[in-house]
Amino acid sequence: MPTVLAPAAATLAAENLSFAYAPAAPNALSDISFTTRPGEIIAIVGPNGCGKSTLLRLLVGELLPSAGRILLDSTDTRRLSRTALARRLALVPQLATPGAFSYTVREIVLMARHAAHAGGGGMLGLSFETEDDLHAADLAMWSADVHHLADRPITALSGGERQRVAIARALAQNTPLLLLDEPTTALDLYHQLDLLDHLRALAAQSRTLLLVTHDLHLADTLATRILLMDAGHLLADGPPQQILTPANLEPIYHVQVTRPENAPLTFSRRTTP
Amino acid sequence: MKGAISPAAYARLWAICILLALAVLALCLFVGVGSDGKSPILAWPSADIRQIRILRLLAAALIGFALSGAGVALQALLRNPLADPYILGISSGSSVGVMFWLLITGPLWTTAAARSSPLLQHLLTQGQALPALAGAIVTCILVYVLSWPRRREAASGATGADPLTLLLVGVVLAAINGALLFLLNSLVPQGVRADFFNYMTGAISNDTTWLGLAIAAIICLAGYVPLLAASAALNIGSLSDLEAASLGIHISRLRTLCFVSGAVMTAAAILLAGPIGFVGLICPHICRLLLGPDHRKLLVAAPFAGAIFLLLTDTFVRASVGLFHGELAVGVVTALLGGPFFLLLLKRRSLWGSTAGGGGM
Repeated sequence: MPTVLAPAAATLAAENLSFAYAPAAPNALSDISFTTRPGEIIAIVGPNGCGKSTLLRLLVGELLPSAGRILLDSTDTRRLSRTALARRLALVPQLATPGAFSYTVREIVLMARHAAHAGGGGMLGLSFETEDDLHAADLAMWSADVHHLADRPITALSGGERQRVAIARALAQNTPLLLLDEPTTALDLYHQLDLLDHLRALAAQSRTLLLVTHDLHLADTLATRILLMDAGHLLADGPPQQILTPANLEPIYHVQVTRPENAPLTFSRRTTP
Repeated sequence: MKGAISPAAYARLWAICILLALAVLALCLFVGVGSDGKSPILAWPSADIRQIRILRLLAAALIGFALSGAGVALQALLRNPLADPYILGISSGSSVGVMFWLLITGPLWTTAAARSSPLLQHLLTQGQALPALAGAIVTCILVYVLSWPRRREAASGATGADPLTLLLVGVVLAAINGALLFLLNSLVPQGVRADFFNYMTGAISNDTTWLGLAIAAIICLAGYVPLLAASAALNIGSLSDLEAASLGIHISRLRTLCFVSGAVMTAAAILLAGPIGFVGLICPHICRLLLGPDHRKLLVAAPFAGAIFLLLTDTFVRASVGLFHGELAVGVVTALLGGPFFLLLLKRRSLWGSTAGGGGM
């Protein structure tokens, strides 16, 4: 199968990033700093409400930081246009909305190519698809196993199929940076394993993956680096073996964690004495 | 390939739409009423009738074009295929404007009738367009300002007014305008109310001028061209804010463009006639059924479909004058055709909802 040329690697950095939804409200994110390296698979983990999704929305540019900044290859992302950002950073959202109109799967996936043509905040330009765009969309649909659904309306698909369409769309964007928000939740076992293989292959092409997940086993086995968050703070940053330890996890998750040698993590509810 | 669109296919769509609209326009030019003033005839009109008829047909086409285009814009803005150009209070605002005009010029109407002064009467009917426009603009601005998130929140969230708030504020302002209308109505002298009734049902008058038409056309284009340029972005804008942002769309700018363009196009229609229902709802919808939801195609096909629809309905109104006491207002015909069609769509929508697991259209 022909392949699409992988883009040049890029790094994403957060610099003392803070965010509050309103000035009076407490910080949803406080003083987050990290820098990605090409080829890393970074899992962002932490309990509900720890700020994972807020961080993602900031990185994508839907929200703007209250303090600090986000750097893409050492350029402040606020100085980049939306389209310039979308050419280097793609997102697989947690629950891909079907939207109000019944676009076909191919139409949805081709939307990924819009940023490559458009200007003016992504608004100007009719952006007719080129042969390359069609080719990229086809490849992405094969990769995410939705090619057989290409002409089906998105509104007629199941949750898992829709999630795979979102994955295909992000792949078609062909960016050096890929953000994924709980990408495996709606997927069946086969497609979960399939996705993990694809993600490893993407990382091998020097792309950087940032993955928000609740699944600590997934984080442990897939990621090369963990960002552990709690209450809007970045608690720990490092390889899974160092970060996913009972000492780190027990206080924030309020569960009992054991990590036997060469065995997966196990969890149990803490019994109150 | 299905799902994609090439420049050649796009140009072809334009050509088909323009040719079709011109053909319908030419056909409608032949339709008239015989010398008895009742029975419809098909004949090449004499020069002076031709002049009046062309103006009226062009006005109908322009109104249909503007309303249908605005419908597409507002449906995209509100992420709701059932939105209508008047949903944001634009029509109720213009009605209040006209009612206000009738209130302050009330005494003049009776003077005009008493002295049978055609000039004064002409000024009064033509001048009506300005307060209509003013009322629409004031309501629009209010809807947008009231829907905009508080300043400090807007600094952190870059998405602007959200669709649900816009819709709610629009509905509330329409209700307030409705109450204002009744209030003003009880202040306006009896004799003038007939004229207002005429306006409210959306009649296309025979005394459109070339100047009025040209002004409306320019206003319509001012709204249409930016919308056309953003048509690919509108596709992406109909996903969630987060997804649209990740695909390179500046969502708050796109929303503002949609709102302003939709309002400006509706205003162009308001300048020529009162509120004409269902055009902005049905025509985009039929085009969506025929061509799919791609806004690049919709923003070409739907305005022309609107133009053709209104050309045909207004021609029916002219030809059917013998059946009724005087001409029906075209808004009556579009609503009578549109209402049942709309219900049919709702019915089908719920059927799709149960079989396809989604409510989208």
